[in-house]
Order: sequence, then C-alpha cells, then structure tokens
Amino acid sequence: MNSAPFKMSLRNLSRNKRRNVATGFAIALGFSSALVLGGFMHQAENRMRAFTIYGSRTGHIAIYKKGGLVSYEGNPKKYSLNPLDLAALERITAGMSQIQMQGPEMVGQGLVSNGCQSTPFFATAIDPQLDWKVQQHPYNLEWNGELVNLARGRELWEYPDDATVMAISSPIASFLHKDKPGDPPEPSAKVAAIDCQAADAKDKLAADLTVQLAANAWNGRLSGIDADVVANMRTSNPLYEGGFVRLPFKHLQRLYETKNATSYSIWLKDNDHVPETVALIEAKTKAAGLNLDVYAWDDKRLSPYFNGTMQFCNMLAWFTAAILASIVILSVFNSATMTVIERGSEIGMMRSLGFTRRRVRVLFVIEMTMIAAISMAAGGLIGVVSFFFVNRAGIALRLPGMVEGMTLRLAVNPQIVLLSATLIFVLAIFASLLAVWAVAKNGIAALVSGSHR
Amino acid sequence: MTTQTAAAIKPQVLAQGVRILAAWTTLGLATAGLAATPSADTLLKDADRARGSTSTGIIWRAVMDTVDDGTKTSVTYELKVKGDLAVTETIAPPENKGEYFVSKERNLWFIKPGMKRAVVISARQKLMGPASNADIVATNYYRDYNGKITGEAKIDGVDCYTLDLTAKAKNVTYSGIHYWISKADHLGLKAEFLSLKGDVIKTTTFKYANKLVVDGKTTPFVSAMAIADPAKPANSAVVKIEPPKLEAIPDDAFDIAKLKK
Amino acid sequence: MSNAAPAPSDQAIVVLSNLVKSYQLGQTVVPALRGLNFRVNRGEFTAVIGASGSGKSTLLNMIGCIDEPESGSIQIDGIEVTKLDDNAKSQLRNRKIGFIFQSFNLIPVLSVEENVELPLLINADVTAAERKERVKQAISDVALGKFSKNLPDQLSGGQRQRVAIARALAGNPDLVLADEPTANLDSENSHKIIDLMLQLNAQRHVTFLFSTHDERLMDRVSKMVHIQDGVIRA
Repeated sequence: MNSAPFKMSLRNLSRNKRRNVATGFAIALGFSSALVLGGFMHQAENRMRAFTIYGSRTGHIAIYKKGGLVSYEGNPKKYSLNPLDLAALERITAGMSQIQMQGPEMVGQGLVSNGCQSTPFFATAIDPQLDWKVQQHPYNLEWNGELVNLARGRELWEYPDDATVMAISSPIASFLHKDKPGDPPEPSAKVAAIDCQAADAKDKLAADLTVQLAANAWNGRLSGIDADVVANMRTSNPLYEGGFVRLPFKHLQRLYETKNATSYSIWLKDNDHVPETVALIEAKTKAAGLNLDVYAWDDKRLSPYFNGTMQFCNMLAWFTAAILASIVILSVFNSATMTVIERGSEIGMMRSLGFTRRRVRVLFVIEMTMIAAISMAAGGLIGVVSFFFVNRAGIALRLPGMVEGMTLRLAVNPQIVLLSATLIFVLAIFASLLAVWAVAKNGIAALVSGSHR
Repeated sequence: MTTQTAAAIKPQVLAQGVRILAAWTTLGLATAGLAATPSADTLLKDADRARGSTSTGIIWRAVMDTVDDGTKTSVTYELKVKGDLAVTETIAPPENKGEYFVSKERNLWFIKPGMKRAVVISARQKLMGPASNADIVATNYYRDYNGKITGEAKIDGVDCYTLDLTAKAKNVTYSGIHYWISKADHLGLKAEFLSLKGDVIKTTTFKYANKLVVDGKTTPFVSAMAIADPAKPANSAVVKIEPPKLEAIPDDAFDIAKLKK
Repeated sequence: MSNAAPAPSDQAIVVLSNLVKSYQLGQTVVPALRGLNFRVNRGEFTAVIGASGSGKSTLLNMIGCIDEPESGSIQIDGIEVTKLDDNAKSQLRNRKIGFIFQSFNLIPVLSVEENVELPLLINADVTAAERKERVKQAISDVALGKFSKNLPDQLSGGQRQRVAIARALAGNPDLVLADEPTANLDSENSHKIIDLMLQLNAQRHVTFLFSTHDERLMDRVSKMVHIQDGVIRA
C-alpha cells in the first residue's frame, strides 16, 4: 500500500471532530504532564546527585577503613585511614585517567566556644583548594549553583591551606555572636579580655573573630584549638544546620591530634564509569593488602538520604505515570471503540472490496496514531510553555530534609521525552488495536448491514 | 481539808511523780535519738570537706591512671582549690603540660598552650576512660545537690548512710547521685552517678588515707578514687591523691587570662 | 459496439450447490437458504427477485464471499470458495468481484476518484499509472467526469450510486453483485442505474447479478430468478 492509508486516515480525523479533539486533549495533557513530571524528576535527581557528589563532598567514590563507615564515630583512631593508607591510595589511583580529583576528608564532633558560651558542633574538613575545585565543578554549579553555602564572609579556599580559619553555620554564628565574619587578625594581635557579664559583651564578642574548639583527641585526652570565623554558611540540611562547622583538613587534624583521615574521596571526570572504577579500586586495594571499604556515591550505606529520597520520588513519579497512562489508554480506547462501531458498515464495505482484516486494523491504528502524534506535538508545546513559565516563576521548592528551599526548575529530560512519546504511541496503537480487533473479525455481511452492533 | 489521811495522799503523789519522771525520761531519750542522726546537708558538707571543698586554700597532686579501650594513660595533675574556685594544671606527661581546667562555681573552662581563650566545657564530658572532667576538679555536692537520707548500708564492712542526691540546677554535672557516707566519720565512700533516666552511668569509690590539718584539727582527706563505667567494665580510671597542704592561694591564681600566659 | 446484450456463454461463473444458511434471531433460528442450487453464466445480466426475507441478500452475500454457508458448495470461476481462508477470499473479492450496495457505502472524506480508486490500492498487480487510467475510465463510464473531485455529500443519490458502480468496475471484475442497488433511489434514477448497468454489461461483458423486489425493473432484465423461502423457484 502506498501513502493512501495515511491520506485516508488523515482525512478521517475531520470526522467526529469533537471526539477527536477530546481524545487529543487527553493525550496532549497526558504527554505534557509526563514531560513536566519527567522534568521535575530530572532536576530532582541531578540536584540530589550533584549535592551528594559535590555539595556534600562525598565524591563519586568514598573509601573508608574496613568498617569505618559505621564504626568510625565510636572509635575514630581504629577506624580511620592512617598515613600509610593514604599514601597507598595515592599510589593506587595514580595514572587512573578517569579520576579528576581526589583527597582525604575528616569529620568530627566537639564543643565550640566564644569564651563565654559553648555549643556542640559537627565538623567536616577537606583541603580548601580541593574543595574549591569540587564546588566549582560545572555539574555542581549547573545543578546546585543556587544552593550557595556562603551566607557571609569568604570561602575557606581564599585563605592559605594551613590557615586556622573556619566557617560556621548561621545558627551557631548567632549563638556565639560571630555573625560578622572577616579576615583573621594578625597572629601578633592582642587578645582582649571579655567580661561575659558586661553590658557590651555581645559587641566585644562580635568584634573578636576567634573561637575555641574543644574535643576529645584521638589519644583520649581533651584537646583544644583556636579558629577564626571567616564565614557564616548555610548547610541546606536541617540535621546539621544548628551545629555545622567547616575547617581546613589540616586544622581539624590538629584538634584531634592525628595525621589520620576519616575517608578518602575520589571525583571522576563523569558520572558514567563509577561501578567499574569502584571494582578496579577494590581489586587494587585488596591486592595491596589494604583493609578498606570502597563505596560508590549512590551506595545505600553511604548515601541513605539520596537513595531514600530518590526511591520516594521515583515511586511517586511511577505512580503518577501509571495514572496518566491509564487516562491516555482509556481515552484512546474509548474513542477508537466508538469510531469503529460507528464505521462498522464502512469496514464491511472495505472488506468486501478485498481489504483484509489486517489492512482494516492498520487503517484504524494509523488514524489513532495520527491523533496521538498531533496531540503529542500539542502536548510538547504545552510542556515547553509550562517549563518556561515555571522556571521563570521562581517557585521555592523544599525537598525533604532541605532547610533552604531550592527554586523549582524543570529540566528537559530527553530520555523521559522519548520514553513518554514511545509509551503514548504504543498505548495508542494498543488501544486502537484492541478496539478494532474484534470488529474486524465480524462477518462482512453483518458489518455492511449494521447488524454487528 | 478532807478527812483523807497523809497515808492516802502519799501514793497519789508518788504515782504523779512517776508519771512526770517517765515523761521527762521519754523526752530525754527522744532528744538523744534525734541528735544521733545528722542531716543530709551536714553529711554532704562533711564529705565535701574530705574531698577538697574548703574555704581555705588547698593544693594537692593527683596521678590518674586510665585504661581506655585497651590504651593505658597516666597523667599527673596539680589542683588548687579555694572555696568555689579551683584550677587543675596538667603537670605530666610533657606533651600535655600547661593544660588547665578552671572551675568557678558550676562553670568549667579548659585551656591549653596555643589557645587564645579558654573554652567553656561540660564537667560531665569524658576526660579519659570512665573519668570525666568533674573527677579532676573539687567537689561541692552540698552546693549542687539536694540530699535525702534513704537508709543505711555497709560498704566494705563500714556502716554508711545512703543518700539520694538530686541536682539543684540544670547546669549541675549529674542529674542524680546515689551516695554512701560513713556513719562514723561522714566520709563519702561510694557514689553512683545517674543519667536523666536514672541509669547508673558511672561508679566511684573513695579512700581517705590522707590527713589535712585545719585550725589544728586533723581531718581525713581523700587519697584514692576508683572510677568504673558499668557499660565498659574493661575501662577503668584510678586516681591516687598525694597528701594535700594548706596554702594561701591568691585569687589571680584562678584567673584564666593570667593562666594562658 | 452493440448495446444489445451479448449472448451469454455457457461457461458458468457462479455455481451454487445445496447451499444451506440459517441466522439466529434472538431465540429463533431462521433458515435463509435451504439447499439452494443456482448457476450464473458469464456475461449474464440477472436479477434475483423475491419478497423481503426470501433470501436474496443472503444469496448474494454467499456468492460475494462476505458470508459463509453452513453447508454446500460455492464455486466462483471454478474456484471452490468455501475452502479458502479469509485472506484468499479477500483477494478473490478484490480481483474478481465488484460490489454495489443499497446504501452506496462511499467513504465521505474521499473524493469521487479516490473512492473509485479504493479497490485498486490493494491490488499489487496494478501500477500507479494503470490505476489512474482505470479510475478515469470507470468514472467516464458512469458519466461523472465533471464530478471526479467532488466529495460524496456534494452528489445526489443517483450520482453516488454511479460512483459505487464505477468503484465496483474499476478492478475489472468478472462479476458484479448489486444488492438492491435502486432501493434508495427514485424511479427515474432507478431506471437510469439499471440502464447504466445494462450498458456496462454490454460494453465490458461483465456478469451482473443484482437483487431487487422492485417489479418496475423486471422488464429491463434478460434473466430473472425467483427466490422464495430460501430456494430458487422455477
């Protein structure tokens, strides 16, 4: 058959215009909803991925002492990476072309004090220059660019690596009266005594950037260091917002009187080769006799927040998609069924002219597929317009566990577009086949006379 | 006057006299019994005195040997106490020399060389092993707790009063303490320190072989403490306290700003 | 070419033997054909006449392979069609049989020439050029050349039936079946349609078999067959 079926199907669209428009509207709405939903999921997943890999400094791959992910907090000395481990990791990963950057990290807890009051802190520490590369990574900027951590002051990477500087979360800053961060004082600068009960104590505390950190060093003794508050920051995570601090890696090592690290993070050049790189590093560390655990960034044990949130979002998305698909299939099936029943005598006529059952079914499938195609084009347009207006509206979005809401930003997901379009086509074909299948098998005489109804 | 004879009156007077005597005797015995049981406040004050709480200045050295998850440590401290002020200086090992703990009433600071200011810390924070910061500063249970005598018990064959202590304020180190104070000389022999829920989080026993002479009067002074954590029985902390001496300690010995210099 | 009907050949194009067909109408089984025997020779112009419910349409449906008998034999141009599968029957209908329906059954969104072209689209043996030529010829044969681009709803009843006739003939069938082709037409158009069919029969030598209960048409046909209660009456 040549283009005649397509011409005929296209002409037939002008019959029962209202029904076809209604069906088309259902498909268009379903498709545009799928695009919007897919766009939301796409941006949610990428934001979460960027936040986990770059924002949280986890890296694509995180390496811990065996059992360290769980047991480090209870016994950091035993479950941390010692200098030999760290040196071995650098040797093992040297020359691996897929690695873009890497380095040790440390986490810990203690008390931070302004001399008058103390409050608990949770600290993370990374080499500031490495941190700069991680935070400035294009993927992170693209998806997390608006999650600006810095509220006031300057980033740690603007200071020398061994500087005794720190960034504290805004709630701690308010509590300790360190909400006017600035550059550290000269080492020789005199430290003014502050009478905590005096009326001007708050002002004096605010003018003095230096705080003290105290914690149990890894040798079991109480330890303390000074640090200058050069930045106030937001963490975007309510779990840590109240007590979060960030220090240069070497300075936090000083507090715990150690040369060890909590973990070692590796960032790859892209997101695509993580599993094989994990396997490779695992094999190499095992061959080198190192007792380590190597995790991919999306390992449930390492990133429960990412996995939990994405599982929830995916479940929601699939549930919504199922509802949309049901609406589309029912709309198409309903429309196709009514069309087929109404044109039963026409089907009989075509059969009498020599059209086989298959040819008749194809004609109706082409017709419904055309409706689907036109509707999807309309749905795509609605989707594009929706994206435009939503992205311009600056709607605040608060994902589970986030303190500072992001701005809702829909992103085109080519995979979702393709999947949705394919699904709708398949559903349209399936629904129309379902509608016409039995009728095409009816007796031709009955169809012609209309007694098939 | 009735026709009652003097012979009839005499037994009545005698009986009245016996009753009065019995009443006085009972009152006397009762009064004697009350004087035998001291108040909880008295017990606490006396026990605190033997552990360093005094209005005059006292200096003593203590060596704390700890086992913490298999790691053994020994640290020597010198404590200076005067009333509600106390300063504990780390003397040894050399890497920790110059670290100070300063307490004023219920507040506690820590400073070590290199720090510009002292950091406010919690007395309850772990120091080493089962020992906390509170174990190396002076004790003042009378100031910090409300005591209630709950009964009597023996500790190592010594008769003791048992007391329940409840914190007077939120910033007191422990929520509650079970305390055993010897009946004879009012020395705190054992203490169990409680969490908010009432669980025992630490147990300490005390020995008093040292002596302190104040105003010509010799009183016992703590000579050893053994601290244990029921959750980690392998961990331990033993504090051996050298004989204390009275000294006039100036107030600026407790000034943090002067200490860090 | 003479308008007189050619002499029918003795070669049969349709042979029906002992054909039996019944229909279920609710709880009732209605016999439509009761062991019918029938023969149509090539070139004949035959009317099947009978009252309503006599089995005329059923007879034509059997011959046209758009319905199946319960028993009996149907031979179209020597082919036993009861033994063919559905696709083979479809091909047979497309190559050898043309249909004209009472209700015209034109596709409303296709023009006259597109409707006429319809059976040729599924004939792989006809090239595009041939298709075009045949359509043109068929439309010319039914004198609708001026209306080839019109849609059916722009035509009168008679014109629509002419289109149906053109469509039936476009495939050069051996046999044209027309079930009550004039039922929806007035007298004048009815006569015109019959005349047209007669003319085409004479010109193209196509066998025509049509059913009617209109006695006004009886005198225009060369052969009449009476059907009554599912059998052919002499």
